[in-house]
Amino acid sequence: MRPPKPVWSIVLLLAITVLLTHCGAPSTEVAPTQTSVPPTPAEAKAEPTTPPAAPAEPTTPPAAPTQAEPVTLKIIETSEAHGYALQKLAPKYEEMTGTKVVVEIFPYDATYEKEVLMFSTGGSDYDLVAFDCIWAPLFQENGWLLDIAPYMNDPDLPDIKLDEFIPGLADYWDVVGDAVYGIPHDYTAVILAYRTDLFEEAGIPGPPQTWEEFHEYAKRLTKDTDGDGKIDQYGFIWHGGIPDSAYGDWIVRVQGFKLPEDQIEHVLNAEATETRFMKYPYGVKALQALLDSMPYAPEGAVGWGYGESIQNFTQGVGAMYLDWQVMFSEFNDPEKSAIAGKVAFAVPPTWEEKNYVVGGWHLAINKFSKHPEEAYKFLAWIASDEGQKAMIEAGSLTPYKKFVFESEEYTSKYPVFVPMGQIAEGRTFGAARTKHFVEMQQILFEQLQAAFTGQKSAEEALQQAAIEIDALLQE
Amino acid sequence: MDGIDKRLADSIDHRTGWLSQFDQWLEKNIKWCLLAPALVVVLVLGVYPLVYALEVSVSTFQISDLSPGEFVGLANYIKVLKDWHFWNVMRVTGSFVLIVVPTELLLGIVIAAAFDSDHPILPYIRTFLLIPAMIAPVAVAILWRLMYQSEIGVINYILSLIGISKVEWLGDPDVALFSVAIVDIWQWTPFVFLLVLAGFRGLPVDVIEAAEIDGASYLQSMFLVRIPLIKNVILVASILRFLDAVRAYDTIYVMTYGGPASSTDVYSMYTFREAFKWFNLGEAAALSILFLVILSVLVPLIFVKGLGFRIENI
Repeated sequence: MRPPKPVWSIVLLLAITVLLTHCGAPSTEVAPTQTSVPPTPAEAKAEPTTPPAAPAEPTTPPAAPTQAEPVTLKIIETSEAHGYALQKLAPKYEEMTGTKVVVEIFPYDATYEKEVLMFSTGGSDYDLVAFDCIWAPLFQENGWLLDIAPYMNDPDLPDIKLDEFIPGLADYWDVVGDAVYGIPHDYTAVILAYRTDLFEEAGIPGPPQTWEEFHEYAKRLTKDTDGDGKIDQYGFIWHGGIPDSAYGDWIVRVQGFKLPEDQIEHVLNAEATETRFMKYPYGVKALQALLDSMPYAPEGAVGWGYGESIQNFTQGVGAMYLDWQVMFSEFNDPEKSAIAGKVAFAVPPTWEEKNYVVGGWHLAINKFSKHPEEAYKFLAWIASDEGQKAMIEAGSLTPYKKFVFESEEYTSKYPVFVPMGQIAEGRTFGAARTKHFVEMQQILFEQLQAAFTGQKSAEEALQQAAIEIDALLQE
Repeated sequence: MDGIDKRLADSIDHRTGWLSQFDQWLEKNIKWCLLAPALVVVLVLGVYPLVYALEVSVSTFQISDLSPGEFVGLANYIKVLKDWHFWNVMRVTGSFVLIVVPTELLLGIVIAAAFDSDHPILPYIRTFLLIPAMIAPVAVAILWRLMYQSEIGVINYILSLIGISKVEWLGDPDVALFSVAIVDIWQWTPFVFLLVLAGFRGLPVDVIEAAEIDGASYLQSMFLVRIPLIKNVILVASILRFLDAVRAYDTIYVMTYGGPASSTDVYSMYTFREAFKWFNLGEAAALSILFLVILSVLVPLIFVKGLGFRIENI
């Protein structure tokens, strides 16, 4: 008997292969973290990302769309307090207005990548985007954010009063000429946290007012407490291990210098076409001050990020710590901190002027959003006093409106608000305003680390950084 | 009966003539039909992206609308080659590979030799040894980063108990690369161990017994008989580890972010930054193509010319 021909088994095998490939691979999209508002299956399905036809810039807001279906707004946020607060407030907003809000939270880097990719493809996956202020120039120059000025001028829509925000936020990041591209919903400033018990023990009356005092106190507070010949208490904690933290430790020392007449901030010129921190002495002086103080901080701090510095401070390794105040939430929590109840907060030291670096996250409308008016109403609510109070109650202790710092109710309940309010009264600066900021920060990080590790002097490091950044800005 | 069978067979062949032709065609081209789905996948997922990357690498990529932009020839390549970062990451990546690959091979062979036995307890211990390879690299990196902490980390604590002063594992540029390499070795030596052990277990017993009868000691048997017999397994393991090591990213990203002072900045981190943090996609594509060219030259040089690896021995 002839053996059966393999024809049909082969044809069957090919058919199965085609069917399997046709079914497609599962999505490799990193699942966003959603806690309180899980999306419905319809919402979980990604919106189509085909680029829309280029919309004409509206001079007046478009007429409200007549929709039988309730609107659902999608917001992309990051894994910080303001993101989680928006998630918690989403049901409340829906109850108030009937507009459903879905907040998707991603880690910092992923938020940036997703937003840039969405904007680049003209996607409308998200109606509202939260972004770090340093991303604002890139988003604005590429025309990715909706100008909300026409909506603000519409008498039928709620108003947003920009002068009610902390100075240095909306006016520096969101306002470009006559256009307004978003609102701040998170205000962070570099604050000094210090150990009141160690200060008292050392006979130091209060937090340092100048960087000279800071250096002196750091020296006095660095000691071997258990007599084993090794230092186990350091004057201060810092963190040079990631671009943001290394830049932060340098810039906080830069800001205290008097700003030259032709400057609007310390890092770049007004047109953001060249660096200024080598044309004036403050850049090198600030870095040298940090290098001179490094012996009074843990040696490993050059490689620390926020996590290590917070851990070490809460374990009692250092007496002072400068950082964005959003990092300080655990310091007086007895469940998470070995030094709970012993930490007070103050404005950072300075050199010549009370200039302070501030930053934070902003919320804006995606230019390709299909619900711009509803998105604007949500923005207006967040920008209102009511929205601000709701954000604080939801756990976002980075208030962005001035009235909070003038309120006894809040400043007594949250001691860190006191120095934040003082900073808001001083002269506040954002980071350098350029679409190349992320790249610029990386260049500074590499050269600052070369200085931290002794491979270059402060001047050599910053000179090299200036050369590379100037070349970048000329591109 | 034969006549009836023959008439029946002829009538069937006549009615199904097109099937017969298809059958013949299929038998002649069966290998291409079976390869076709895989070829399609390779073309779509491998060749097309490569060609597209080549196109992007010779153009200015517009982030605003993700379009290739204008043709600039080799400008991106020249810019990359003139950048000190490129030579730094080449040096760091090369150093990292030279540290981890030989170490993992050596340790893997030694441990596999120790486990090449029928002792009943060994399978249980073997399971524990494999645990590091089963943990996600990011989790491993976070774990080791905590242990490496200079002030409150467990490693420096243990060292202090035996009188050794603390080491700045991730803060000292002279030490950081070794610290990261230790983590890679800890995680991936079990993989090499598993491959080599499988090689040892597959060896013909009579050859080894013959060597023992001839008076070969354990070490002589190991180095002159067993290891030469599993040479191909070792070479496969070394190629796999080499390719993984040159692409190291997640562990280093979490532990050091390329610092301190760019001492752990490897090729993949640099390429990722160019592509997805700064969206310099033309330069990132040029970096990727350069990397492909370098590996295409290095792998045959090292593994074929250098170690005498033959393709037909796979």
